[in-house]
Amino acid sequence: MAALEVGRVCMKVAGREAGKYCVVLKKLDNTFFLVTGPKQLTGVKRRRCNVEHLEPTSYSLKIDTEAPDELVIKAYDAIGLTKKLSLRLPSPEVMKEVEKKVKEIPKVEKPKEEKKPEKPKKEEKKPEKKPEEKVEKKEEKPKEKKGITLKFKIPTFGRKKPKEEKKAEKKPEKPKKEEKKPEKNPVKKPEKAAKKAKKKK
Amino acid sequence: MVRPKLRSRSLRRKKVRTPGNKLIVRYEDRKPKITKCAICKKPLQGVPRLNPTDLRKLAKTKRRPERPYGGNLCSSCMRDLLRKNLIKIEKI
Repeated sequence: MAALEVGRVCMKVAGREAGKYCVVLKKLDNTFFLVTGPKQLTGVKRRRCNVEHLEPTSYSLKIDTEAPDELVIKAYDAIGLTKKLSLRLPSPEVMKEVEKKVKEIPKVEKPKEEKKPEKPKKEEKKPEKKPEEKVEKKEEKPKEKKGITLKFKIPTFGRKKPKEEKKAEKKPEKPKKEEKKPEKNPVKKPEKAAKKAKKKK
Repeated sequence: MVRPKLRSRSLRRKKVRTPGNKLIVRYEDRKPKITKCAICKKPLQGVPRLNPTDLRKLAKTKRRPERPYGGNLCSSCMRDLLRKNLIKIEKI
């Protein structure tokens, strides 16, 4: 077993990139490494990778930490690893694109470590502020609510009351209708009965 | 008697109680067996247990895990295989 150092060629053993080769660029933690194929050569993109997903080979490249993809590809070719591992060198058009990308985005994943300590501080501050604000708001809100709720309650009561009144008005009306219905029904029934009788005939 | 087509024993018979409280026999295709790892014979995850006609309706990414030997080997057996292959490659 060869040690995992910068420039060590590894095989990825897990996931969709399993069976593909990559190069170690940097050690991030005890568990994680920064790794590239590069993507144009082997298909593994520049990304963080768990140690258990890497199987080190006996080959190693001479590169610096966080070397750009363009230099890594040249390092592969210098040792003759591309023939051994049967890798295809990307076409010159693709290589130009790689060089452009390297100039645009040189560094990866550095700011994360710096940001992490800052975030929890903010989170600690926020909960301290929030309860104070909440307490104040709670004290304020009910005062506001009293004013607001009164304003809202009045119309709601006003809306509800007419409904109640309508209902109250309707209720006495219904029995009237019921009184009417028995009058109508005897009129309708004989008609229907007459129609049925006609149909039967 | 049921239709001659349904008398075949290759169909599964499922008893269903209807809303009218009757017992009915329904005839369905049998399910295929659970797919297993070719080396360790453990049941595979991520492979749906469907008939080939229904499998064809799925997207290719939903039929098997998307890694080398996906749908044939479990992940741990696949890792061992890749490591063995690496040793062979290095010797050449």
